[in-house]
Amino acid sequence: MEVINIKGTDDTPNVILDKSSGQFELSGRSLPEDVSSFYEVVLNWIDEYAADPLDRTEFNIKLEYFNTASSKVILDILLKFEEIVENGKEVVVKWFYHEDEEDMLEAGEEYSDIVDIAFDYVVYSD
Amino acid sequence: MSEEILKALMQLFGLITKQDGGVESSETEYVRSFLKQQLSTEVVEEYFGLFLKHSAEASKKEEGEESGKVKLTSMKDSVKILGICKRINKQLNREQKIVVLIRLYELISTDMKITDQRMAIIDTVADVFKIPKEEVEAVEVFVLKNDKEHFNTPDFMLINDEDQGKVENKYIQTSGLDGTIIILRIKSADLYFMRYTGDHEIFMNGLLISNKRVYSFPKGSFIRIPKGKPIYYTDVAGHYLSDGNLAKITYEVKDVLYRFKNGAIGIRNINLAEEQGRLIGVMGASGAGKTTLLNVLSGIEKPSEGEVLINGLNLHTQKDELEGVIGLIPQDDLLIEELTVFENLYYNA
Repeated sequence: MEVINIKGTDDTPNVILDKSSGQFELSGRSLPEDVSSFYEVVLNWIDEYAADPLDRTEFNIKLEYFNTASSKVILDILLKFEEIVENGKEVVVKWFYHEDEEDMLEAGEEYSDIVDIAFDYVVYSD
Repeated sequence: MSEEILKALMQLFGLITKQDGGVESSETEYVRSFLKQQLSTEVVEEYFGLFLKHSAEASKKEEGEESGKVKLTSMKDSVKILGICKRINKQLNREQKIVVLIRLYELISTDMKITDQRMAIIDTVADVFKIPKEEVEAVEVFVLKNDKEHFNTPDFMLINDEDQGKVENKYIQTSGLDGTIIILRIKSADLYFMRYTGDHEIFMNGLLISNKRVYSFPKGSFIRIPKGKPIYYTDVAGHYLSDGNLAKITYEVKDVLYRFKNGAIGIRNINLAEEQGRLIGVMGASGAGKTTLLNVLSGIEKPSEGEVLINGLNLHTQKDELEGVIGLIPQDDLLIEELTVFENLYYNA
């Protein structure tokens, strides 16, 4: 599968999706002007990946901020990973949050209530 | 509305109003009066408390931040909203989802504090509910706009004093009405909503209409205005039905007379002409001839004189060409219980 490696900006996140090295990461800030067009390639890639996933997928989410519209797309991404879980493969979401950013931790906890995926919360400092 | 949906709505109301500076008194008032319409007085406070809890939460923390900077929606709130929508998504049918969307817009219309954050939340709700973009836009225009130029799509209909003959709007002219009654039709859910912009006292189904609220306009409704004829549901629906490529139907009864076998005259001198989309009532004392009239008008009995025409075709002599066009459902004791309404109609047609 092709590798997706998008460099982030002030408004858009870094995205790394690489099946061969087992690297899956979403990091930085997500408030793109046009959320659906930014995430279209990402969602398509995950669709393709879900058809033939690794036995264990570790998805790192290390965002500083995401806006409301992004929150919906992140849910869509998580729902796709949930399907992989339903098909008998293991998926772990590593949810990173800054020690001063309780909001991010709580957002992760809200997500884990909605989707049936294991969440690991990882705290970091500057 | 079920308890769960109402609870979800209170949470959504709370989370939306707390964005950008927090709840305004007009919004609090709106939520309270909304609850009063849905519930008995004892339980209103319970739900209202839920709203207050969600609108107030976390605002303490935000106060600490430097002012002047645009406050971003808390990520926890964003995800929480998603969770609430997901939870009620399965329990709500299409009509109820549209109603929820309308109420959310109505809430922010009370103080017109229309900010990006608030709109983003409503967009996300609509997105989770999978409401088509055009319908979301139509609802937004319907609830938030007042200028006539916004209402020039086929979804809208205007009822007011002006002669609008040259514009494409659907409209009904009613002389002497202050302001405009705006009707919105949501095609996919086959729902109608109305709001009124003027200062006259107008009534829908006997209830006084407030010009600050949006009302659903269900089947069988009518609006009474100070001057002129009432506006009936069928008047409104008729304008929308005549849209598009549906074949138009005319129904004409000319000088019909019906004589029973014993020679007595059952009905006489019947003349009427109508088009599609009309609902018509026939009143008369017992034995006046209502059943006889319907038997003749539906093609069961042949008139002794005169004719019944559908799009110019004679119902009694050109039956084959009108097959499936006309139907009659007699009094309810003749409905077949095992069949659905559709099947009953189909069988009788």
